[in-house]
Amino acid sequence: MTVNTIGDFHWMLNMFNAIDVGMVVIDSDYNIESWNGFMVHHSNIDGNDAKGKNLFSLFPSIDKNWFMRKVETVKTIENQTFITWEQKPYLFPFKHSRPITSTVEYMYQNITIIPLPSLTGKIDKISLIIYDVTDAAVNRIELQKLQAQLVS
Amino acid sequence: MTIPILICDDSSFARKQMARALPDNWDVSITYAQNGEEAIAAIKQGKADVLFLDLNMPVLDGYGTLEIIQSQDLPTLTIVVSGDIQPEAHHRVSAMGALDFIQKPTDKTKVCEVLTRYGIIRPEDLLQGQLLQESAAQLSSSKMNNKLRVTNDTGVNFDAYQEVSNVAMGRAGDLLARVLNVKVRLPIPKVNVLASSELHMILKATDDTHGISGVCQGFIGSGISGEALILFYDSCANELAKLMDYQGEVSDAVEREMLMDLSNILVGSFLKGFSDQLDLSFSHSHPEFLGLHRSISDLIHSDTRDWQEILSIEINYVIEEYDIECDLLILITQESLQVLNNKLIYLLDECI
Repeated sequence: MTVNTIGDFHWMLNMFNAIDVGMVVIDSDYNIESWNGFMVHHSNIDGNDAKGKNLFSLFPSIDKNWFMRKVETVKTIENQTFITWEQKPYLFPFKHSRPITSTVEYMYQNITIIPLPSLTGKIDKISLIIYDVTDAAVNRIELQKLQAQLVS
Repeated sequence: MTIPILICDDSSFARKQMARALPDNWDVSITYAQNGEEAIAAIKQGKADVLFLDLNMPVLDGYGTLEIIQSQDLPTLTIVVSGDIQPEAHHRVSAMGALDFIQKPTDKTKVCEVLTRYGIIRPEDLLQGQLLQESAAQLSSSKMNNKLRVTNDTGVNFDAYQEVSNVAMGRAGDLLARVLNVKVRLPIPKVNVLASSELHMILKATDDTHGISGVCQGFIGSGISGEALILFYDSCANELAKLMDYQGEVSDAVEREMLMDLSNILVGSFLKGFSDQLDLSFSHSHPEFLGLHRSISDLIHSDTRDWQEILSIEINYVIEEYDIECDLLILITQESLQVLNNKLIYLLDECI
């Protein structure tokens, strides 16, 4: 994919904001550079308000040491790393996307952490991709409960 | 000379909106009517040289009112103001003697343009009012301060919700009519506050009767979250398949396909119409099937969640000439209501 014109940038931005997946860019000090519509809607924090804010001060519930270890590894290995809901149900404390018919309160999340090299090749930004996997997670948990019942 | 004007709409929110969309300096005396019967009585008393008429109303709707005006040759110029934007509705009211058709939500420019076009007001009338308008603006800004104090009220203004839903429903209905090439009959949206147990009962009924399938989809944004539900009567599946041009047997797969198409049109356009009016933006989650081999009690365990009260907006779409109907249910969480109420008050103020 290439960006040649302002027009290309425009539709890409529309896609960035409309996709039902969270996208966040943070700098090396864990300050938020940018986040997309998914993050705006679920956190109710506007993109402009989030910009420049520290990730840990916006979301004090994030385990700082644990998360920094993950991100620093990404910078070192210069490759992506994954966190699944089975390790940690969620990184961002978002409500379930169906607040009324859901059986759980929070959104289960799979997270991908991606290194973003600058023009010089140095990793100075990190991207977080947040997938809402609540339905799959709830189904798995229910299934495991049933299996446990069958065995016992 | 003061011109008698009649605004006929079942929603007081819509009546206010309409009154505020009238040209500022226009010398009128306004009478209000809540349905067609009241309107006819007012016309007979000479209170309506010009009538702004809504279409969807209880007791006597706009079509019925037009019929009486035409058959009894009552002295009034009728301008229809409606959220039903299907071309069919437009043609029908024109044929019944309406002068013109204004789409809801009403705005000043459009109303002014229509009134000028038919010579009901002259351009010079409007110019004279400039000064008056400025002093009125000063007055209304002091009025606005008073109103802001009321914004903390958490009470739900059903009427305002109903009117905003009415406009959104009209857009969704129009799209459905265009995609299927049919006429869609629009009802009056029902706004209610439901306790969790009541909602559970509604959904449970869906489960027990077997004949109903549904799709639910979450939406969230600007501090507002909720769910949209489409409930579809399986007995309509064959008719709908004909309309949507599906050949052969109506299998479960075909039914799922149709249900999703229907939900994409209705939910998507309703939420867009709703959020556009209130200047909100929503993320939509992926839709989920209810029913169709999946019991709703599997999906909703009323006992596992501490449920609150929920605002529900219920719309029953009926496709005319076919035996097809479906319900659109918009459910909004209690914690969203404060934000929404403020947005609605702002919407009314904007019309000044």
